[in-house]
Amino acid sequence: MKPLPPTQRPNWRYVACELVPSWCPVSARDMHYAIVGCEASLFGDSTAAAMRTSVISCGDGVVILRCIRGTETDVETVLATVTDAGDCSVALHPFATSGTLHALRKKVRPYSPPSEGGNCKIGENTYQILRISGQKVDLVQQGIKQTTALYFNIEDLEDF
Amino acid sequence: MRRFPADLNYSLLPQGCFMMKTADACIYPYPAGDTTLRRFAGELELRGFSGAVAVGIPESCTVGNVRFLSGSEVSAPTIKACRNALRNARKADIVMVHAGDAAFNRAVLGNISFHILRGIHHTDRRAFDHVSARLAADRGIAVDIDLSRIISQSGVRRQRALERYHDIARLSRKYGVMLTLSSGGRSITNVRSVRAFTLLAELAGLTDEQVLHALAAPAALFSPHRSVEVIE
Repeated sequence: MKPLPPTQRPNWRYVACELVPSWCPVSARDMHYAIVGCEASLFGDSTAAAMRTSVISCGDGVVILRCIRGTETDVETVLATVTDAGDCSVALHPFATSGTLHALRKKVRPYSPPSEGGNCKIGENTYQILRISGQKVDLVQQGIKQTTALYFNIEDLEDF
Repeated sequence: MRRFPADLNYSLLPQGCFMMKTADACIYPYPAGDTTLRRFAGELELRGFSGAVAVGIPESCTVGNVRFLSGSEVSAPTIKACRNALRNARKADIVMVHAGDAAFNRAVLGNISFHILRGIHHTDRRAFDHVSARLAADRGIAVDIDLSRIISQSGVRRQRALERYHDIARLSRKYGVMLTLSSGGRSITNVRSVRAFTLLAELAGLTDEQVLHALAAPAALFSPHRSVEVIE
């Protein structure tokens, strides 16, 4: 089948968002359902359909979305209301918008995965230590139903 | 054209607001939440904030480039209980009282000295009317717009909160009541950027100018500019 000429294609905008916490294992499918659910909840089904939001990629602490041109601001409002994706509590912070994926990917910083730093005990709970870049340390406890985390700095960890 | 705080004219703000020109009016650091104050400081700075009111910290402090004011919250069913609770509460820079029905709100706004009236979304439509708005404006008490209600709630609860916030925004424009914006964050996943605050506040019916003043309000509440008193 012959591809559509550029003038007849929809005008897409691509939005890159930072995923907090970056180590959260969320699939693109779960993220898509979370965002579309928030969209429908905040603006209604008809506006959600007009935005035509879809998740292009989700991983390495960055989520890339696609939406129709002119709806970027509404999409950003929707992203502020995303609190959960899959089984994780997450936040999405949009940092770049572009008309092409090529230009957008230039704005994405290289991802440094968290390094494991053993275990620590706070109270009666044992947490796995994940060292994020800089001073940040996340203490993660894998539960049966959900993952709980404490967000500390190295100095805070020394205080314990 | 939509404007964001970075584009707005900060010369419109009262003096003294520049140290904390964008502040989150309520966060709960560890142990009430799961994020320590130092980590909150890094995250808030990254999202464009220069200050916050942290409930439960012993005194105000500066971590990195973020100024934290100590806050205390009082929730009481009657005016007498509220006064007792405030007497027994730990000394804090910003004192917040939870709103109740219309009679309670009028009594509290007229008789008790505090800074922010919180939890207005829990009350009914008549709980904060033009009389309360005038009292709040005269006494320099701010009303809090808790954005966590828009972020985390959905359906009827979110609609009710938006409805109440629209009313308060209207009263604020008419009577000059100060507003504050808060995330009520207990974790870094509850922190939102200044831009997100602006977008969500617009949903709640606030104008650009109101958002700008609401973000700077905690600093203005902490160091109010009173007229000069002549002592004879």
